[in-house]
Amino acid sequence: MAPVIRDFLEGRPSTLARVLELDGVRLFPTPAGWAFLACQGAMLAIALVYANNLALLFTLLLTCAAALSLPLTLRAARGLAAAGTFAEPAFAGGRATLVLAARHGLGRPLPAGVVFPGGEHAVADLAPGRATRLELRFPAQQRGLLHTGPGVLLTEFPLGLVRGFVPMPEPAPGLVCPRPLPGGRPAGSDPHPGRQPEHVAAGDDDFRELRDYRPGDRPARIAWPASSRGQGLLAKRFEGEAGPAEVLDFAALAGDAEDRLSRLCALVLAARERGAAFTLRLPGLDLGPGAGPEHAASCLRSLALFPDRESGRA
Amino acid sequence: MPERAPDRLARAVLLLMALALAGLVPELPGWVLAWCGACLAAGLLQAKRLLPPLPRWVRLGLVLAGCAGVLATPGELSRIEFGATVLAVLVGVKALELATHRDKLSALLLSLFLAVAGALCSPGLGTALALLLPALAALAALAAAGGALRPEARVPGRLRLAGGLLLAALPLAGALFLFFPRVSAGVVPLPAPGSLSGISDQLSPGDLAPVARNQAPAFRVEFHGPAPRPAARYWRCLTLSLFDGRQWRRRTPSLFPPPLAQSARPVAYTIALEPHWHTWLPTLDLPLQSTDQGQLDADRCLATRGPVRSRLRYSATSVLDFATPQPPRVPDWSLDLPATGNRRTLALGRRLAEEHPAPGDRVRAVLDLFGSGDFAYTLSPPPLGRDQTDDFLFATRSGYCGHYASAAAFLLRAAGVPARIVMGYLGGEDNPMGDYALVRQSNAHVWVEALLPDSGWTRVDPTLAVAPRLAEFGPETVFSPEDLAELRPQSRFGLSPELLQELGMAWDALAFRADPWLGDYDLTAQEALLRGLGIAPRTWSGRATALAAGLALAVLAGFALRPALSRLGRGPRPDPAAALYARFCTRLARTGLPRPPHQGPLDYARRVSRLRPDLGPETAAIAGLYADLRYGRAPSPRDLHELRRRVRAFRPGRHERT
Repeated sequence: MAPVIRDFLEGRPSTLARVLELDGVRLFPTPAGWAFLACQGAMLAIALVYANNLALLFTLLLTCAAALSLPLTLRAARGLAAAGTFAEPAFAGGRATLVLAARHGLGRPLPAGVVFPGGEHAVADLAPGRATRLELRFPAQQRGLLHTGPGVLLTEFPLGLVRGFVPMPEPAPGLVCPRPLPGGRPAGSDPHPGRQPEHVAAGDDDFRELRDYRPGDRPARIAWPASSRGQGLLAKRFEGEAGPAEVLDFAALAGDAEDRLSRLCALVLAARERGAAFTLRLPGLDLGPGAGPEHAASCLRSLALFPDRESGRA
Repeated sequence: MPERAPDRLARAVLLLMALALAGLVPELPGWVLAWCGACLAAGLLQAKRLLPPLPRWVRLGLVLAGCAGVLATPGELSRIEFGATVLAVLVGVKALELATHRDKLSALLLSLFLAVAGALCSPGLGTALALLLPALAALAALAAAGGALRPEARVPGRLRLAGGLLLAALPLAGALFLFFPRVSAGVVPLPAPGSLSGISDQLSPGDLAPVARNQAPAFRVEFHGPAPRPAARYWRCLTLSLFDGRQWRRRTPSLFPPPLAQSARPVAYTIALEPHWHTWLPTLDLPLQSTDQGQLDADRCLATRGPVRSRLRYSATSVLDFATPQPPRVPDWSLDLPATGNRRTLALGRRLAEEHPAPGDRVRAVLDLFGSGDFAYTLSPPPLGRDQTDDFLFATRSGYCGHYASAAAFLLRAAGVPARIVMGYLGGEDNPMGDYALVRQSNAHVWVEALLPDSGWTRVDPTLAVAPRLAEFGPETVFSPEDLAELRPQSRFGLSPELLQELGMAWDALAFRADPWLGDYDLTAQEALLRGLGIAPRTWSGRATALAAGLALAVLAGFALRPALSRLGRGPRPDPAAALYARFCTRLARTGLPRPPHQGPLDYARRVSRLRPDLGPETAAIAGLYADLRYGRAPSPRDLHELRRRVRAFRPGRHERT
């Protein structure tokens, strides 16, 4: 990452970049631009020393063309905009993916990039007239919220001699859940003794009974013919699914708080995988009973933020 | 897979290298051209991933070998040629290491210096136009690089982008060029190239033969008024007065010529002299007075103080009819002959003096001797022996102006008529397209001046006695068939010699007219321009004002070009069918039937034909064609042609025709 961008991200734009701020766009030469400038200076010196008009014209022509590319860079950078969110919750120790939709105002594909203070960056040819998807991966170190900080959108269009960059508002923070740890079920709390929760045996898909519909049940599970009889929605239950809602209790686990949260996280994920109903019980907070991705998501969110951990940075 | 995909940027850089090298082809030694060609070809193979990259020690070895080769190249290279040769060798090696983005950028910048070296070696309009290509290629390559952001990306329309930038930069660069502060006439003068002119300050018979084959321009003349006919255009450069038996040499004449005894038919003209690294300035025989650039000597030859290093323009006035005053006494040198050798010529001279008491008759007798038919004009005469005048007059009897002038001057002196040699040019080719005359090196000519009692120093041209058509119709008309075969213009590129000559003239006229702005626009010309604008040159404030004026002009030009520039950001052209359909919709909108943005072509056509039945069939046809072209499975060029024809013809009236 160029020092200029680092300075800019960290709130202290270099003097030159401040001077070169136009219309909300900062312009700064790239290394290639500096080299080009030095080369033009040398060519100019040769042309003047030998009093050669052709060499002088050639040099001036290239310099003017490079200067004329500045307004284009300015226009290209001014039109840059991007917004996005973290699509999926991440797990501590893993990576969080920020998905951005980037747009620009030129009627042609525009090579552009986005950089965040941590050095995370992505570049792509942005398509004209519609949003282009950019994906950035951030390291998720700790559970809680992941703040990226405000980013920078930049382009070197058209000649790569000058880089124009505009600030990008900070995206909504991403959710970092505890790192899932297996072995979360202490002895005696297993409703199905002798069966690993992760393990799903053959024949588990056999139909067992009908039960009342609960929000979060997958549509495929709804017994449409039975439901049509006017008794409310009914859902099918299969072998292998936990019968009554399983209770995942913080208090029932051993170990320190983070450890317990990690185990609970693994259990929630396993339950979501099976489509099983469960209740998450945290100190001062009961979630459920419920099933399905939405319930699991709210449980994961509570695990990530417990106890009201708002910041991903410790 | 980026590893295997052809390297587009490397190819763009290689193209730039080739274009920059092309400007140096006449200057570079043959082996360097071969070297660069081989390196570029290998670089191209590498860019196409057909050849693996070379290890570093091989490239280093190539650099060393190339530099050693330049040092070992026989023949003298000027400083600039040396630099250009080394640069070309290095660029060649650079073509082999275009692996990283940084390599490509540095190769690109290096090639720009090569282009500058080309400009230094051969200034002129041709080079100026040829330099546009490397400039375009460099910008296109930079655009292809798209910055270090996405070096592998394909940038659509980069050539259009580069071309647009270059076109827009032309007026800006022009404005800056006029006002950019110059260093006085170049701190480092360009070095003298090899022999540029056949005319030097000594003459042995046989000296001018290589010049006669040299078609390079010597100078160009604009006459202020009617031009004298070519046969009357004797361009005087310098006189040679001392003869040692083999060579005519120059004595240093005093300055300040005596005033003419009589003069008539003045002709004023301006000469643009190509640099020749001597001090003489050609003038029409006979110049009236010194000029700003040159001083007349006692022999009425014009000369500058220092050698002419760059193209020089000067105006002069000459008279075609003249008589120089009689000197108070006959100068010693004008009759001086070596005491030994050439006995037969000396005897012949004595006999002429006895037969003809009047000096004018002796001159006529000498011319009659050459015109007797025994002598032949040829560019390839047999070699002469030790007594070369005897040998020429009595044995070989064939040669060209150098032989005849030398022999005639010798014979005249032997006959007691004071004589000297004049070197210069004869004739010149009128260029009707440029209203000027071009005098080439092949027009170089040598004649004799004899001191006669009535007319003073009088021109005697023995060559004309041998080849009378020489003066009127140029040297081509008097050559032997062998010489002609060598000199006659050849047809090239399938074009006839006549057409080639016409094209050459047109090009020469264009270059001559461009020259005051390209080649001759130096510090002096800039100072004249600045003074005209009321800016004092040669002061720092004046220089700053000039630069500010140039920048202001450039910025103004930039603002004027803003719409064009913003079009450059718009990218590739829209689909032609969409453009035609948009025009069609605009025309319908003017009749009060605008197309709602959401409406497709077929729906729109249905609505139009409901509201304006008279437009219905045509609208339906156009909409159908457009829908086929845009959304159909196999759009054909015929459909596009048909759509264009129909849209062009579509002129809906504001009201329904009834």
